Amino acid sequence: MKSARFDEIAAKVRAGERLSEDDGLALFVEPDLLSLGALANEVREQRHGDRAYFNRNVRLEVTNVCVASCRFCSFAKLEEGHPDAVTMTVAQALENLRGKIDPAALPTEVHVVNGLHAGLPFSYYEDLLSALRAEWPTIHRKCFTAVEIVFFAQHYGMTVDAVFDRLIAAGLESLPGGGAEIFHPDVRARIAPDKASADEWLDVHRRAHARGMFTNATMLYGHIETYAHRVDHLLRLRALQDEAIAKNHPARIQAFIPLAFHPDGNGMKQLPGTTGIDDLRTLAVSRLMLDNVDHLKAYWVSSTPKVAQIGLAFGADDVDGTIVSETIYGAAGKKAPEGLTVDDLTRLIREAGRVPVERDTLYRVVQEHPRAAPEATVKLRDRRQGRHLQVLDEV
Amino acid sequence: MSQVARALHEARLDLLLLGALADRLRRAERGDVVRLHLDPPVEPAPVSFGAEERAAHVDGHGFCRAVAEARLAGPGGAIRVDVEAVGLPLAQVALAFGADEWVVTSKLSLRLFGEGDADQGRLALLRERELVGLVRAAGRVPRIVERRAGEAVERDPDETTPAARKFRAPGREIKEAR
Repeated sequence: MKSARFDEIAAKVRAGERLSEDDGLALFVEPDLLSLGALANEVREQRHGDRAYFNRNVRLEVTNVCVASCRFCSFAKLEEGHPDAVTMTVAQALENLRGKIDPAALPTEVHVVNGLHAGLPFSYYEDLLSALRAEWPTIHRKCFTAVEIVFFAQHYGMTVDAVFDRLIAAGLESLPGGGAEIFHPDVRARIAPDKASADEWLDVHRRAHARGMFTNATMLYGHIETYAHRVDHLLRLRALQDEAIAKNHPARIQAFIPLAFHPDGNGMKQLPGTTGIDDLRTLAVSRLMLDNVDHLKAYWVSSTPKVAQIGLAFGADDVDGTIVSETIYGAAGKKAPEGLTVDDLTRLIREAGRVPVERDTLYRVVQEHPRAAPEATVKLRDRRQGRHLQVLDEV
Repeated sequence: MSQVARALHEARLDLLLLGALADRLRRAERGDVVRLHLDPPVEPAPVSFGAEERAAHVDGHGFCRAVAEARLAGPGGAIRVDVEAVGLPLAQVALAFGADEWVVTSKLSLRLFGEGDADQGRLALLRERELVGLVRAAGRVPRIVERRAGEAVERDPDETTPAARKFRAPGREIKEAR
């Protein structure tokens, strides 16, 4: 049953009032999950109607060698020479991508994130971007988390702006949202003590927005943090976005992506990970709290395609992309498939009653797919309902 | 499929509206108890969700809809979800759409993110108390059902059992002895 507090919050949402920290906490403990989801869905449908977005993207991690000791990461403190360590040359990185990219159906985005490798020259990253641009000039380069940018600045003795100057000149186009984890220092100091602080992370994005570079933002939840830490995280992102809007920056946060913690193979493997209800609740609360961020992703790699699909009814309007080969969650024991095809994604979206819209990285529409289910989807639905058996009987 | 079930299905109600109706009916008919079958159940349930869902690769939405429709237009009684077949996340979500029983027959471990491919990933240990915690996190009241001498025996999960003793926190027996 809904709480009385929920009705008050729902009234605020419907009146266009901003939710407070207390409201966020109340939503995280609201017993009526479906009413919470329905409220988030109202907001989602006001913004996006029945549309649900996806893109065709490929992932590249050129090195998993990392000096950071994040307890949630399966690559923590991985040194060069370790049997599991991988560092590609630029030529190997291109070869790796050629194996993933179908020249007849080019993806629209390459998403590059890496470990913090202290042994590579900065020019390596410039060369990588330049090579990507030269080989696939039409594929958007969304590369390097804010944590990597801070590492580059500190390790190579540059300012963040100088790092941006050189990377943008080499071909950087936007920033992914990783590395945010949980901003609150009580948690961050324990799970990610030796990488960019919350303020540094936020500053990188602030500077990116000021120079016209769009970014995403994430939150790694379901480990040692409390609901209060999650709400604090959302409020810091909302404030950052307020700033971008108030200062009329040419870019801002495009999408928020809650990332479910996976416990396998890392320093917090004793923790149980998230649950389906927690995943959906976090999506819904995020949608309601982040009233100034356009898009909310149900990231199927972290929450599984099935839960991500249900997430489209809990405030999410995006399921991310085809994601050919993602290794970070793979190392942490995720059980989602390696990649989904465009057919998989459009079917997933249609089965959720939404209209599949392929977008590019900047949310420009590439193709709006028809709402009607193609033959293959009808067959799937029939099979699930046992109608295929009726057909056999009739035959 | 009954006429009511067919009409309900063809109406294609909003998923959360359908779920809210099913949840309300579940509460009225079955209360808040979720029965956790730790052995193969003695009696079949009127409605079960299991292996068939494993075959549907990406469709969590349809699964929730099917559970809710089964509650609203099905034969009544228990709606049972095979946790190992559908995966724990989806099984937990099903509790909000009208389900009220889980079958969890793996004695030692479950795949916490079980989604089909048994060869990938480490099997996460999921102990009885964790299952109970997950049911409680869904706002429900767990009851353990085990088979003893061929009979289904129901117990409160807070009762001390050999299984619970086995998984108690280290050092707790020392505190108890004092």
